[in-house]
Amino acid sequence: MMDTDDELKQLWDTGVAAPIPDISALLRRAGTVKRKARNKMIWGNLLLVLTSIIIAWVWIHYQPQMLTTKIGIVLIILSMAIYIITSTSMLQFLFRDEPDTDTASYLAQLLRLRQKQEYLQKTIMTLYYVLLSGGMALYMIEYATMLGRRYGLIAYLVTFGWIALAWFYIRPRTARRQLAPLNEVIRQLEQVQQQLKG
Amino acid sequence: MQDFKEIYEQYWSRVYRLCMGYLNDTAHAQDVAQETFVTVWEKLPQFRGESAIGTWIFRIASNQCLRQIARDKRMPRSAMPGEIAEKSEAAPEGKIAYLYKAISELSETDRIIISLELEGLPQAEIASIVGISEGNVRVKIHRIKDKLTEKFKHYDGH
Repeated sequence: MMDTDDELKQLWDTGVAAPIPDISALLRRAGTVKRKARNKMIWGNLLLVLTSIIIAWVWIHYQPQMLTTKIGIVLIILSMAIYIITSTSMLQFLFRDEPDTDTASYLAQLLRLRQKQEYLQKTIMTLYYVLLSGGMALYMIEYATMLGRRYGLIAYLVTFGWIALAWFYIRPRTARRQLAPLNEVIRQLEQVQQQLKG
Repeated sequence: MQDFKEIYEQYWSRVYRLCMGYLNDTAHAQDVAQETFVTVWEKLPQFRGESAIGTWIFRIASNQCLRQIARDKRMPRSAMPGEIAEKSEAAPEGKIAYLYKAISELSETDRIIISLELEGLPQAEIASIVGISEGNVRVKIHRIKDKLTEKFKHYDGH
């Protein structure tokens, strides 16, 4: 039976803390997290450079004649760049929070960040698909005309069949998988925010 | 400015208890307490003394606790090196375990408020940590204590 405030307080004080971890281990941990973020960023950059080199090589090696091919290449590079930038930690600076403000402000901040993240994920994914399929369509014009009407048509059908599959099947599935946990977090944060108002 | 080592030794137990109040899980509490001190270590050079150092540390700790909501659920809970991850404590038993459990059944912000209160922080400081008015803190603490007292009526010693 718990009678008074004091008893709760006394009971709380009997809660024994875990032994204090070694300070050097703690600081190593801080280092590990930073290093991981940096490594991810380096890999992202490398991939980006590599993609650009391959495309540039295609450009130089095959010497495209038509402007559409060149625009197509640029759009494809752009779509890949966008994909790599967002899938690595390069946009982390957008999501930095200030953990030393008061709880109410911190919750508002977290909520804002998550909403921004949700918006960004949706927008970027659409942009990625539009740029990639647009780029592919333009890029193929030159080579499809070389193939002649019949094979050119087949090449377009196959490519756009694949893009349609990606757009109508893979994209919504990926979006659901990425956004579901995010939406859940947003819902919970809103709920906690309400608790403070009550 | 205070030395980090000093702060760490002075506040570790208190921060750990707050995390334990919020999470009711020794390993997870230890993990979040460590994250708190990693942040303290990173932010200490920017600390301008606008509040007491204790208030500042408890703010970070409370926010780290709440941040567990926003954490990516697909990721493993911790990226910490194994050697400190394994040294977690045995779960508390008896009356104190019952208290932790009772607190864990409260809403998220209530868990933080009552843990800070039981940790002995003045209500004005709790208000400044949580970002609500002192009057509001007082009312909330009163309600939470009523709830906890009510729960302890059912405590049968196990």
